[in-house]
Amino acid sequence: MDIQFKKGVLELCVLTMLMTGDKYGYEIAGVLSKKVHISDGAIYPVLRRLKEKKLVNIYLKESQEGPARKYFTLTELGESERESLFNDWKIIQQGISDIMEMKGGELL
Amino acid sequence: MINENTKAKSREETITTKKEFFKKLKPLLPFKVRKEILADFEEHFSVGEENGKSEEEIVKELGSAEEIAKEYNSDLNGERIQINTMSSRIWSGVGIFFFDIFIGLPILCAIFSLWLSLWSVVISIAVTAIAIPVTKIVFSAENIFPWFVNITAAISLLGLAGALTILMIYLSGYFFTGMKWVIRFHGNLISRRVKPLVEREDERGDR
Repeated sequence: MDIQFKKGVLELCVLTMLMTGDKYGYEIAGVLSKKVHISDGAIYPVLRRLKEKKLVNIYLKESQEGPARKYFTLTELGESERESLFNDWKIIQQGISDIMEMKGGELL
Repeated sequence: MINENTKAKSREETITTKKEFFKKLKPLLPFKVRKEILADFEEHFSVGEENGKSEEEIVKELGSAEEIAKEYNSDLNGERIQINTMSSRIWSGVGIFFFDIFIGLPILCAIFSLWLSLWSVVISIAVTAIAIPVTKIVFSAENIFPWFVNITAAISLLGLAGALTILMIYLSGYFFTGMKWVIRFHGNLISRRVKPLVEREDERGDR
């Protein structure tokens, strides 16, 4: 997959996951590796990038077991970025499925 | 934990422990953010272990350390491309224009005339070196020095001219590199995207 495309899609996935509540790295990695078959390690560079783009904020929260965890929370910028990425995604997804279902050049 | 002997057998051997994973990842990470990134992975391991996973499982699920490091490094490269705003481009353009006229151009002229006069010195030394035997042999002109002084003088002057030519070629090279840098700097000031003037030195050497 094109690296930029993959990056964009992963960022959209993370931003969307954060809409339902703040999460820590391990949680996000767990869901993404199960759903989109990427390795757990690939998610940390994505999280870092989101932080650098100020789309997410980070805070530390103690857990009952073990050391404090780094929680990620959506910023306002992150919310609007998620929306525009989601719109891009819908268009691409629609276009791709149109092409995939094309029979006998009916789109031409 | 794998014992030292197995580890030493092959560098390509699959990584199975946290320690090995960190050892592999650490030197590949961009130096400035290394600590923070390693802390993220520390957390990943500790949460994973709380969830009853073995180190080996966690390492396997993390994927290749090289791939992870590559992601971080490509992000860092992207970061270095800076975007200039329109107004900053205009003001920089005006500023560099006046700088060039009043300071840049005089300096350039001075360097150019110095360059020109140094070449004239080199050429005149070479001409003298050639003129000594030519006048002596072809025109059989008399001078007060015996023949061996003439030969010695011609050869040493020729050598001197050669050495100075090499020196001048080097100096010209530096001068052109400098000019390229200046031109690129001008381009960066007025263009939208800023390209690095000097390639980033590899920070991976630090271990």
